[in-house]
Amino acid sequence: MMSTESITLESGKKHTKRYPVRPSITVYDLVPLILFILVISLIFIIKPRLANVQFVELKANAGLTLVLATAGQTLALLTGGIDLSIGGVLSLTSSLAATMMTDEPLNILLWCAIILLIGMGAGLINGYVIAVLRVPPFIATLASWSIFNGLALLVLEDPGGHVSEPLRALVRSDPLGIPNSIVFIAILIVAWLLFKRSKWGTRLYAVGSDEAKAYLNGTDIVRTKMLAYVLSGCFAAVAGLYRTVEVGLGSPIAGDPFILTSAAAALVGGMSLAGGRGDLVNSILGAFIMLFIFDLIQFAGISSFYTPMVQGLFLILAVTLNTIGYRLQIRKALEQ
Amino acid sequence: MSAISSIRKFVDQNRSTFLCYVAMLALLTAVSILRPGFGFGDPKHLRALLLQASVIGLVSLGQTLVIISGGADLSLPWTVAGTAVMMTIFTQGQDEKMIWAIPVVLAGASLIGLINGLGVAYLGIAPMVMTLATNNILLGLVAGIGMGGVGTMGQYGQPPPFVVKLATGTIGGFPYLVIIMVVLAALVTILLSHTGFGRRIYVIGTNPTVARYSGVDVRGSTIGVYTLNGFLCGLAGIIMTGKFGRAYLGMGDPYLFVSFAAVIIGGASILGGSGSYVGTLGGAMLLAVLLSLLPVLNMPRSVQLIIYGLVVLFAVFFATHRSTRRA
Amino acid sequence: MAYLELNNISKRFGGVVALDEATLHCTKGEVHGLVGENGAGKSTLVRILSGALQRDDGEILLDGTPVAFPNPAEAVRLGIGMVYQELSLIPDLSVGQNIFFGQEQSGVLGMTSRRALRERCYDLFDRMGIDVADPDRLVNQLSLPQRQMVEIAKMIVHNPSVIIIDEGTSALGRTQIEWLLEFCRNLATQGRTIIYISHNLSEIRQVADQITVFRNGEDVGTRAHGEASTDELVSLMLGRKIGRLYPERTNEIGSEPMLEASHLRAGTRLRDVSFTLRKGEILGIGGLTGQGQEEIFRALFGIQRAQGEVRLEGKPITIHSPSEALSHKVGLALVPEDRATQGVLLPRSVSDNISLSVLSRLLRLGFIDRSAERAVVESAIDRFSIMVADVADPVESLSGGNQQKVVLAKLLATKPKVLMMCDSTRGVDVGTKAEIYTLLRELTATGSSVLWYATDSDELTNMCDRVLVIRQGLVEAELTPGMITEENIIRASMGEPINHNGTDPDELKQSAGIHAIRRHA
Repeated sequence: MMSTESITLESGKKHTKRYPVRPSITVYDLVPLILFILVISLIFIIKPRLANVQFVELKANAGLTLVLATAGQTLALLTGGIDLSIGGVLSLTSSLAATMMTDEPLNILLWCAIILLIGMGAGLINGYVIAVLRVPPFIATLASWSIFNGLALLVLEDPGGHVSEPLRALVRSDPLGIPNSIVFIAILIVAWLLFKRSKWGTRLYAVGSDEAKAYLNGTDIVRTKMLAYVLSGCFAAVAGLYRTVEVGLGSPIAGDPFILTSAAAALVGGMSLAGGRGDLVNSILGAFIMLFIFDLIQFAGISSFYTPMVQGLFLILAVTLNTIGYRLQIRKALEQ
Repeated sequence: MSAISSIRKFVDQNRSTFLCYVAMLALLTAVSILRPGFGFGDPKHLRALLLQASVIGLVSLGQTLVIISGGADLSLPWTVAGTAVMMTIFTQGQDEKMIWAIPVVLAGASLIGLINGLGVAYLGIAPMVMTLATNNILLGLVAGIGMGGVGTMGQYGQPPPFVVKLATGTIGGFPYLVIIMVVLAALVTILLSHTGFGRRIYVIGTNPTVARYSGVDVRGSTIGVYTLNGFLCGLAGIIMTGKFGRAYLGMGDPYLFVSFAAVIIGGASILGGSGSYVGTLGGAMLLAVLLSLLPVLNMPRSVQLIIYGLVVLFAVFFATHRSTRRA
Repeated sequence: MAYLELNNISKRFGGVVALDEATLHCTKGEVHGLVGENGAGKSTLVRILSGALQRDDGEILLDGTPVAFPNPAEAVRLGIGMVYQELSLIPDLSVGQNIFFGQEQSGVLGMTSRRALRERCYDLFDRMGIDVADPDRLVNQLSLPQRQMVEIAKMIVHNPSVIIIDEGTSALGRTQIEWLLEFCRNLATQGRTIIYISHNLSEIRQVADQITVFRNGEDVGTRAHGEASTDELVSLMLGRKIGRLYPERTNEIGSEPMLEASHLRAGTRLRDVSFTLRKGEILGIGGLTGQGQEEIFRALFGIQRAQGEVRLEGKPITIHSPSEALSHKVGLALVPEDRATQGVLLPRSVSDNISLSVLSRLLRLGFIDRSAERAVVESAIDRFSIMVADVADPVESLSGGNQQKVVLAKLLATKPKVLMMCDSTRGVDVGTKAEIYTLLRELTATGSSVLWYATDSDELTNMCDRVLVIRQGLVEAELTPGMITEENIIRASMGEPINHNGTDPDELKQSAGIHAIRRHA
């Protein structure tokens, strides 16, 4: 295909209107950040002694599983779908990590690779059922969740197993002086920022924004959706592996609490069920907001059983705020 | 229009439901042949099947309506558990207290449904999100009240004996529960096919914009569906407490997936606008048969879960392809 | 020798035949105009060419070689560029991302920087010679004319050899239209083939080397530039003389007011409109698209919040929702413009669709009275001559014209006092249109009134007793009997004084360079 420069249009070039360059982030994109700062400020107000490095490290380590699950969910949501099988994949890899991994480096590497492949495989299956067979994502991933759950139970019947020592040591070691989990999150964010503006990232947004129009523009819808679910499967797989290492044992139901919480965290972070908008960074903030609500309640002296209640109310609040913000943004722009 | 062609048309339009029933019967027959003494050969097994199907069907009553209306109810688990827990706390195992306890508790369940409906209709929050949020809210509330307050850890009192009798007793060998289910099934089916409300549920699920432009009160009907759904979940919670003999936190959790599975296997579209309660019952029976294969074929729960997933996938694939062929 | 040949292309959607062995031949370096009524098949044909749809039958030859376009990407690769009628822009992406979609020149680490996109955009706009839009803005933040320009820019980027412009001017302003017409001629001079679809006959006659007319899914004639007069084109489009399409005016207009609207304001486009609709009257609403006409209907039907006063038969009313409007007490019915997404429930039966608006009146204690429902449906099928094998069949199996009749039947079953038609004869074949026009006359004979927004000035002149032309949210002119001519409607649409004598409307259109009446399928 010839480049555009070879198209001869006007005989001379006119200098057309130049618009002022506007910032790429608007205030509406910052809603999750604002909520995050709000929650964390409340925590530090109630317990000022916590405003230190150990707290950050503790929280990052504890929260990484949810962050990973939310990252996967974000990609599925971006294309206008949802991935309920994240819980199942998580449970499966958690169980595998706790039963199959020994202390031998070669074995560890092998099983890490297998775990990643399982994540990819799960994504391929989901992607195929959703994009090729055209089964609605909710039901497709609900069904695959059940399948992976079953597989997890086949591997490990009850919570237990053991963690591979070298792996645990590696994760805890903090070679860079900063907790590994924070390094990981930082890498994730950087990778996301690059991905977002790349060809594939643009296609994910396009498919979620308007699948029909994305198709008209030449997007391979099937491959794009497959990519989303493969990535989400991989995230879920890594989340399961990490959880086993962090908690110390595997569980065939490890993933259950993460299915809906990952979706809730992503929604708090501004993702829309319709797809096409949102950002992974905001979703990560959403995950931490959900985690901090738990702490907030504990520190406020309220029974921690009430945590889900506050999280639920917060979800309604955040979704409403994000929707209002989106509409306002459009209205303001159209009025100019 | 001859009788044969109208029958053929009926079957064609309800293919998924028919397939579901046929599959269930085929499976049962296969089991009866492979394992004599089970399946059709054993009335006790059949009765257990019917009971299991009744429980699943009970829990899926509201979900059927909500899915046909184009939504989904993720607050089922804790509406059921919450109703169950509150009922046992209020009645403390005494029949007399039932008179006020049960209406109060059912009203509470309906209120939860009402809140769901308001969030969906007026705040414009997607049903999945709204019911997810209310499920969490209820989780927190019920666990908070249950654990931190009234009643000691895990024990919330007994369900009233009347309810237990209703859920587990029999008349002439026929369990009350099955009779209750048949009655409820008839009522819901009549609601869906013969009332204006039922018609509106289908219409809203098919295309809410067209419904609105045609003068249907979409908001009102949406609120109505979710409120009724709440009520039915509450009812399920009460009856299940009778069946299990107690209420416990988390008793509703396993039924979320099961309710979706039954409705979808029964032929409803997850996107709304189609389906029937007869279909859901078929799905419930198929699931019950699959569940009963556990001990018969020595299948561990893990395999059962895998099979559940595959069955749901197949059912929805079959249904989706039928409708895309029409387009 | 034709560069592009589409031979005997057929396509159907359910019960609707969109193309019936249609043929189109285009040569290199020409602008080929494509005209026809709503639903004649023009858009369907070009969408098959662009890969968005697949043909059922027929063949396509490009430079003598048979080709297939299994998807849009393949069509683009083979040199087909399309400006879609409903636009193919992705709302949540920026202008730059849309224009260079699929052609991003990735910079560092695979990223496409905003700055690079911006520069490429300005470079493109400069070479196009016209302002388009801010490259960084998201498309859902743009106005309609801006989006149309972005759509055009996007098409150019792929350097197509065949360019299809489907109703490219209905959203544009005068300067932009003049630019586009010249742009098309330039592109043709470069050896490209342009297929230009427009409802605006004067535009087509200005720019096209050849014009092909479509009717009912097939091509009915091709004329070279200068060969055909507007009249000839129109009669080819309609297939019969205009006169016989419209029934005689027999309605008696009462003097009592049916509907009075005072100072209606809604949204950003409806500024201040007042009118009185009398009993038995058909009041037309005209003007260029987007001047606030749709808002009038949306406000009256309760879909959009509005300010102003509305009186029905003298009594003030407020309407908050369509169910209020359609209720027995009020009686305001709206026939929507987009049948598929606003008018019918495609998968549901004909019977369910027809009885939908009067459902509440068919209930006894909440239960549906089946025999009453059957009576309503049967009488509707009879009255409107709806061709259907079995009322239990889904509406999507009906032809487009019959589907529209179902919509009308549904709304007229509520026995409304006022029927509002919002550009409702799209995608309807001529025969059904004639039936609908007759029906409307019958309706007014019984004392009901009709409020009719039509973009086809022909409908306005032949059916309406009075016409209000709306411009910039205000009533620009009220045309009374004797003054309702195509010329006056066009003049008023543009803000020019109306003529009380006669002027050739064709001449007028050409000199004024007017455009679009509206996008049509």
